[in-house]
Parts: sequence; structure tokens; C-alpha cells
Amino acid sequence: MMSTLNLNKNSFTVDTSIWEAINDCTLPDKKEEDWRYMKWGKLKKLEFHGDFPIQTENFSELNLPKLTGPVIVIENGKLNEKLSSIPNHKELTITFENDDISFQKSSYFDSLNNLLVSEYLNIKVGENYVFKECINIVNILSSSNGFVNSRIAFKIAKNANISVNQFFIKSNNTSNGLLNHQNLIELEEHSGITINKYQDTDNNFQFCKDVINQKDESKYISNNFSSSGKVIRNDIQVKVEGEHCHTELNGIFSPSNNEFIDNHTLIDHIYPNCKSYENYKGLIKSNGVGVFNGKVIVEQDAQQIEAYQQNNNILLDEDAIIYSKPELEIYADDVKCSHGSTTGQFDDEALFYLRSRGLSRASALQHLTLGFVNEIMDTIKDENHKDFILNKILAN
Amino acid sequence: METILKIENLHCQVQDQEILKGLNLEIKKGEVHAIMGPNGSGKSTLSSVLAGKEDYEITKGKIIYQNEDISELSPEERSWNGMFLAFQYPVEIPGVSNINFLRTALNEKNKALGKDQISAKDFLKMVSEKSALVGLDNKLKNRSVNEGFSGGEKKRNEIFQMAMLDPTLSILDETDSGLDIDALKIVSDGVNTLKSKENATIVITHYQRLLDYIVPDFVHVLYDGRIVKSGDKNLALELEERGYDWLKLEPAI
Repeated sequence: MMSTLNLNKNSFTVDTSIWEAINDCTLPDKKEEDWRYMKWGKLKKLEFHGDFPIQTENFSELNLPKLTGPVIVIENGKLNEKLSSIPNHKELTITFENDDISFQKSSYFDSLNNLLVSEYLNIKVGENYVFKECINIVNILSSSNGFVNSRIAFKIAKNANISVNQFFIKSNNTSNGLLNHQNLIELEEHSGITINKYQDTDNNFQFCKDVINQKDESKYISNNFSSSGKVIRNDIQVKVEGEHCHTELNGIFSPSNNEFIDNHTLIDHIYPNCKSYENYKGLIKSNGVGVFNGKVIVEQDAQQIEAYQQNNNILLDEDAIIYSKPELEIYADDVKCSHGSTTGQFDDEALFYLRSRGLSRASALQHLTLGFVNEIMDTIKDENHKDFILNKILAN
Repeated sequence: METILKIENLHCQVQDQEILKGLNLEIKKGEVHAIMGPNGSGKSTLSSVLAGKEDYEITKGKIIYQNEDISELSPEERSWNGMFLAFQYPVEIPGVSNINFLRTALNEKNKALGKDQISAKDFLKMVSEKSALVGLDNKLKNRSVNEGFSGGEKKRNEIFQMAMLDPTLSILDETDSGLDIDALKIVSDGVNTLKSKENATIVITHYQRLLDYIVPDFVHVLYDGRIVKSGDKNLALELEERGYDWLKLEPAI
């Protein structure tokens, strides 16, 4: 039987033709390689609704660090004007645009995002413009059983550079909501973007896809921290379409209590002389399930590529599960590539050593946890954001 | 003098194998006791069980430390009460800063004892004072715990931590292993400086060499889980000369 999400038709204000197209899409099957580890849980059994009010009045309702710089709050897919402070620069324009992308049937969540997003956020950075502050984008899910689709397009012109802290959170008591988000990022020659993603949606579901196109000498850095979510599925797909590019994917994911966090990444090296670094760390607690499936393709003409990929996991409890699948596909003959995966527990000797010096068991475990994620935390330059994430890791 | 540690008829097993088989030992303030013995006699088991390592099950007997049976205490509680184990093989812990963890250790100890937290200034002063004692390189203090340290640096780091924690009872497990003669002198000088009338030291060692530098008041021979002979420092010299074989024939005392 083909399966689809159970969507409450009356709550979605869409044309009949769109509704028919939606009904035409089917959820991916476990037989598909990219979805073989998927734990759908309750997702297929719940009924989801569309169209929700904006109701968050102030930041104190949300579990966020202190935000400095521009703030864009997107609640249930729409702009929360009250909480947002959007800068007005000639070189940095942030606008909502009508979606005029013509529909092409693709995978389920891509198709539905395409069909259901009527306005997307368009962030354009002009040539040579380097924005020193961090742009904060807060995606809030505040509707239980809501199905929310949102999309952001980033267009970074030549020599321009920005940093973004992107939060995916829920407001109090929101549960069983489903957020389907896309970031589409275009990096022109010698431009750069750093995205620090933070996902803490607790009792909700999240599908998040980033599609990146890199031109010559561009730099893309993604620091992905997935703290909690009933289901989180991240797809990051980088097409490196230029020479001398830098691509860096870092991640920490920490599923616990029956949560499922799945990271699928793809770096496609098409041109020569590029470097890519990927480093993901999993901290799996109680009966949480984690997935790392990272794939690096080095195409035939992409000589002199350096591509490094690493995934290390700590299983904190007996019922914790990790599926780790590092993949390299190399068609060029003059490259430096490596990939590796380790899974284990914290070293009992190290734990005893620290305790014998007077650290409580809890404190010793905290130190070992920090030691484990340290090299990834060091890649986050924004100290506020870093502290916030560290505290979150330790509180888990 | 006041007794710090009294071990009575201690039986201990690891994974169902009995290693200590009725060990007795009494240590008073101001004393240095050396424990020697051949491989597999139970020396490291003794240090682990004293420090409270899990997996080491006490099946019989008692460990009385400062008039309290500590058999059920966690490693950290023993540390807060003034026990310190210098490891034979100090563990490398990547990503954990040597200094940060030590500061946490001191503060947790102070908290447990109802004392104030140590200020950053006092802490740094203490660090520079105590590291000078064993000539620990400044760079090593800020690195990850023991990561990439040479054998000698690891042992210096152990004695540096011992100096920082100011223990009442120190157990030095094969502290001389992996040390050249210069490092051995530095480490021994550090230990001797820390020695006082108020604390005591147990030196576990294979070789008599270390005891030229850290001079013991008593020497005990551990064999097959029991102390089979005790004496003064001359016993160590005799062992050096004759080996352990001659003792095995004598009945336990």
C-alpha cells in the first residue's frame, strides 16, 4: 500500500489542483536505500492540520540564548513581525517572495514543500558585502498537529559573506507538529556562508533539507547541532561547482528517549582543487536512535581533491542505537580522501581516573562529554551560541 | 601516632577470581610504607581497591580509613576525604583540559567539605607553585589530560595533581616505571617535599631503586594476595639481592 501523510483537507486553503498533486505524492519506502533506517513512529498515524495563527508574543516563552544582531522569527511558516527586527541595508535584503517555482514532482517532502510554500524568505547579499553580525533566524513550531512548510533562499553574491544562527524550536506544550523546511543556498565566486543550525523540537517531527551550490573559491560551513526531536531528518546536499572551494560539515546529534535523528549528507565534487571536511559526533542516550549517512562523490574530472569524513559515536546506554554509513565514491585518480567511523562507550579507566581525583560521576561524565565534542565546538566562532549549545549538551 | 589506615583481613576478587586473600596492614601518620612483590601478587589490585575502583569486590574484611570503614564509598568520596592514587598508567583523556578538570576537582572537594570555592587568582597561584615542585612544563598544564605526554611527563603530572589536592594518604602505584634517573629524582623530590607528620604514603614498587629516593619506614612483601614479610628498608635491599623466591617457602606472618 502506498502511504501518505494523513492531512486534514479542510484546514488547508489550497486549490483543488494542488490538493490533487499532494495526494499524488507518496512517502518514501523503507526499501529505498536513503530511507532504510527511518523510524516513522506515530508520524503515519497522526492527522495533521494546516494554516495556523502567530501567537508567540515574546522571547521569554522560548528557550533561546540572547540574540544579538538581526532577528527573523518565522512562526508556523509565517513571519512573526512583532518579534523580528529585520535590517534594512542596500547590500543585504531580506524579503518574502511569492513562490513562482514551477512544480516538479520529486521526493515526498520536497514535493510538498514545493506545493505548500506560498511565500519563501529571500535573503540576498550584494557583491563584496561582508556582514559582521550574525543573522538569527528562529523557526518556531507553535501548533500541535500542525503541518508547516517553509523555505529560505540565500543568494550570496561575489566576495560577500554572512553568518547565520538558525534555530528550530517549538513553543511550550506544542507536540506532534511537523516542520518541513528547506534552505536553498547559492554561493557565487569567492563568497561564503556559515550556518550554525540548532534543532530542539522535542516532541515534534522535523524534515530539514539544505541544498547548496558552490561556485569558484566559495566557502560553505555548516555546524549542525540536533539536540532533540521525536524525528529529525536532515539532508544536506552540496554541489561543488567550482574550483578551490572549501566545504565543511560539522555535526553533533544527541537523540534520547525513543527519539530518532537521521543525518544524510552528500558532497559532490565536480571540479578539481577543492577541499571538504566532514565531522559528525553522535551522543546516543537511553533508547535513542541515531543515523549518520555521509556520502562524498569525487567525479572523474575532480583531480587534486582533499576530502575527509569522520563519524564518531558514543552509546551512553545499552539500548542506544547508531547506524553509521560513511561512503566515498571516487572516480578521479589523483585525490586525498579518507573516511572513518567509530562507535563505543566512554572509557571506564578515564571515568575512574577523573573520579579518583574528586570529580563526581556526573561531573566526570560531563568532562568526558565535553572532551568528545570539543573539536566540533571549537569550529563555532560565536561565543554566545557556543555557550548555549554547550549548556544544552550538558543538560541532556 | 594516630592510625590513618587499617586494613583487616582483606579479601578481594575481580571477575570471580580472588586476588587479595587476607591482607593486613596498618599505617600511621608520618609514615612511608613500601609494598613490594613479584608480578601478579596483587599490588595493583590493592591500589585499585583502596581508591574504590568498581569491579573490585570486597568479599571479606575491612578497610578502615581515619576510623571509618570506606568499603562502600565512591572513588570521589575517598578523594574528598584525602586519599590519592597516583596511577601506574595515567590515562590520556583527549579534549579534557588538565587545568579545568583539576579546578573542578578542587571545587567539588571544597563543596563536599563545606569550604568556599577557590578563586581564579588563588587557583592560578597554587598551580604555578605546585607545578614548580615537579618542574611541569607550562604548556602541559593547559593541554588535554596526559594526551601526548611522555612517560616522565605523565608521572610528573600525577605528582603535580597530588600536590594540588594535598592528600592525607597517597598511594603511588609503580611511580618509578618508565622514568629515567633524572625524572625519578625530580618526582621523588616532589613526593618528599609533600611528606609531613600529618600525612602518610604507600609506595608500590617492583624495584628497590625508587626506595633510595623515597626512603620507607616499613617494607612489606606482598605475595599471592597476602603480606608474607615485613621489615625496614633493609628488607628491600635484601630483596634486590636475593629476589622473591626465598620468601615463597616461608609461612605467612
